[in-house]
Amino acid sequence: MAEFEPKIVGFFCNWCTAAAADMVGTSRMQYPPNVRPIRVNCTGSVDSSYVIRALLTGADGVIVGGCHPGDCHYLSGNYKARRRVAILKQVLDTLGLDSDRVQLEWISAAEGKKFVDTMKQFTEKIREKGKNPLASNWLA
Amino acid sequence: MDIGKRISAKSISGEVTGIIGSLLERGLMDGVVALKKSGKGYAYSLLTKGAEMTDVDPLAPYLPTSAANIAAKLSRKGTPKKKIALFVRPCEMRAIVELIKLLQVDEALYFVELDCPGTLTSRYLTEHGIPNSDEFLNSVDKYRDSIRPACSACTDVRTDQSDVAIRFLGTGGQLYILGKSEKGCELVKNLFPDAENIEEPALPDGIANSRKQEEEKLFQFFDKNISGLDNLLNTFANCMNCHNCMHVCPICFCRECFFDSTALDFEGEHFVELAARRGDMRLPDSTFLFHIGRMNHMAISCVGCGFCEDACPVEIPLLTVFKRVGRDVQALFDYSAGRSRLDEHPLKTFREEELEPR
Repeated sequence: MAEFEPKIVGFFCNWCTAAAADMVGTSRMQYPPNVRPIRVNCTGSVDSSYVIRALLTGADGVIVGGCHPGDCHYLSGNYKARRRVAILKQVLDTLGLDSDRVQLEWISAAEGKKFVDTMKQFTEKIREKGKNPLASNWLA
Repeated sequence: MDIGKRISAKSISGEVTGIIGSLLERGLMDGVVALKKSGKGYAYSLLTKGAEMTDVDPLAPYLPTSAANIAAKLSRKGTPKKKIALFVRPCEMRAIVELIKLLQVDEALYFVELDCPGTLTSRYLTEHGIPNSDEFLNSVDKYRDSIRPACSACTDVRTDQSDVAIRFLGTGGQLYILGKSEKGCELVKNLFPDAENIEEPALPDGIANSRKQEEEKLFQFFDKNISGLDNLLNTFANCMNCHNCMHVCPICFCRECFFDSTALDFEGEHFVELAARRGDMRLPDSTFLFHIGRMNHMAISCVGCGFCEDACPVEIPLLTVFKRVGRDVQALFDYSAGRSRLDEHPLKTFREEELEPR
């Protein structure tokens, strides 16, 4: 049987993490192809329901990448995202679902290496966890 | 100590209705929103001077909608210039506090909070009709099994967030009318020129304890029967996607809801592909997404009023789910929905250093 290949959805901020991903590409560094990047204008625009929908419709993990605190292009979007992700994780914890499948990371446009390392680590973490039981649920 | 007035009341409800009457007759208020008999139950009515008061029963054991929705309706497109008071229950007051912070309710309205011995379910309304408040208050035990779970397990029995508070629980037939805010004190003084500083009556331990126990039972049920993927799927298995829970929720104020929008409309092909990926899929889809998504949107402001559960046609224990999720989410920010108008709403603010590591 083929090894389990996790599907990972990444919501990456246009001004930092998405730019880091871009730099990684032009610098010919490699990150796991498991990650499906979605560029968003700001992590503050990532509604919890986007993350939940990803988890319910096939993603094994979701990573949200934004600017370091203090560096938000829109001043405070990443702080709001941090609160929203904290709420999302608490909701999942309370419901007895796996909140470790959601991760928020600060990766600036200059941190290509950090981007690669983070994606590798997260992919491995999810690989170890195995298939997301939510992703195949009938109720979605 | 509050500025207030104590009255020995033969009929609590009659006395409160009398207060509404004199507020209007004496021009202290231009309008009062209170419960009034409507069919087999009760509905909120905006009463003005000269209104027929015979069917008015502000303490009726039934809430057709949260008064917070009415407060929002009166505020949304401009608050009336006239003085309007809403006679509300504590759960409604808590929702109003949240909606004030979310800029949906104008603080220019007057809020009068009534002690609440509990309300009956909509099922009781359709099956038996709702008794009037005197009948209910005199024989609460008879109705105990039909009281909404949200009320039996309501641990925030009183708030101090209204302008005026009317207390009668455990006072042995005494009615206390207390000013709670500056404009509330002003109103009480105008209504009762002989108002003086009086002590607010303490809530009887019996009520506080029994409600705490009921709440504990709900949380135990949650841990045993709701938490965990299999339990959750079972809990929501019969949801018919009517979105009633959202429409009655006082906190769900968005005029266009993401879950009602066309954002989740896809080409038929999309559903076929999704179904093929997992063998089969339930249609209409997004049931689970709706509930978990809604929790993320409003649990931080959930006041545990239980209108969601009462409106559910298939009796999903929504109150238990939301009360528990709300409690845990609010604890993250040391917040309690409806506790104070002065507490910052966690989704409207942030700290530069917090919640790390994420």
